[in-house]
Amino acid sequence: MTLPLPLTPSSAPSAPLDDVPLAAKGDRRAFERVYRSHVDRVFSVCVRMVGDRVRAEELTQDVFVRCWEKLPTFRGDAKFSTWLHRLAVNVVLNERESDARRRSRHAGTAEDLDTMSSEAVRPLPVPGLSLDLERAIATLPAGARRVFVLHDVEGYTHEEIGTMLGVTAGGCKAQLHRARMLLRRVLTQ
Amino acid sequence: MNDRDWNEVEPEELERIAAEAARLPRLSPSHDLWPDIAARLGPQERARPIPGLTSSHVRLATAASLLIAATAGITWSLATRGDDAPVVATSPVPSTRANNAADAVGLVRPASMDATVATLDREIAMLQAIIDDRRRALDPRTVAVLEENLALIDRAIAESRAALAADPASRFLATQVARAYTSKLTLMRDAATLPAGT
Repeated sequence: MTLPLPLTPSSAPSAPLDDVPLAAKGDRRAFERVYRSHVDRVFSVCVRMVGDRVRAEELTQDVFVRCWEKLPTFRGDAKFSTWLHRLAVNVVLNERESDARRRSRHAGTAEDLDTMSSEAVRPLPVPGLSLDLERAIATLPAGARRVFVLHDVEGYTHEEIGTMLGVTAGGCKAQLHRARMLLRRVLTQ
Repeated sequence: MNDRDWNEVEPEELERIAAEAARLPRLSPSHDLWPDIAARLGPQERARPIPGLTSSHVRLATAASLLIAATAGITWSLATRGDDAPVVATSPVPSTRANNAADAVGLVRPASMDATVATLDREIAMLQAIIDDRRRALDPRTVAVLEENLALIDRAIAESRAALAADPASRFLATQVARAYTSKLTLMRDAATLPAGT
């Protein structure tokens, strides 16, 4: 797992409001402006959910390609940024399922489902570096990391996360508590 | 994590972690992802069924569809020199998951660059005839966007071909040319089947 290095906060200006409908009609220049306005937010959720910069950049590309393909179906019922964010989460979660199937085929093991076992916190990727929350998140087991990022960073409700992940809201709450406990442990080491 | 950990933690500590998480800044990729994304952009999904098609529209759409079907299997090629075997692209439809140009164009066996370009130019000319025929049926703003995008792609084709002419052994440049042509064909096919008034 590579670290999601803290970088500069986004300073990209918002795209003009009419760029989305233009892009939906096939205007690639408008879509590039849409990309530049939203890439940091999409990348942020990707990198925090997968904990790997390189994979997150690949997934960010996938998100925008998928966005381009689906854009004509965007009806404007929700804000575009909300729609795109949900699309990004779905791409990451679908990737998780693909990865689980791949691992199951090749190694005969299921994905880390992150039950409430006493699984140890993974070793820090770069020993000796001072810890901050960003690095601590990257050390979480995959399931706990996804729930923590979706709830505490991105602001989804337990019910919404439960629907996305196919678990109950109660299971989501338990997973979140575990994630916070693991983070506290790492941050106070 | 042991029982002592679970029991000793104050709820406020966990709330502080949650509050800090909500304030995390946005992160940026290590480089501009747009060029790779742009190279992968293909056809868009249709928003809704096409309403009110006239018989002439149906004929045009049918002609476009037949053209697509007829040309989908065309083997077009980009020859390279050097150690690598020259390459041929068997399908102009890009893979949405392609991470490299070879995946995008389906590299197989060699043919001449001239023959490739001639095949592509024929297909482009046929599509252009359909688009010209439909021009008045389309929204002028759509036509303007279409022409602007085609001009951009044409510039990309010209630049890629010039670069390839200067470095004919470059597999990368050869696939860049193929990708640019793929983009143009995809866009033209989309334009040829757009519903009236779009």
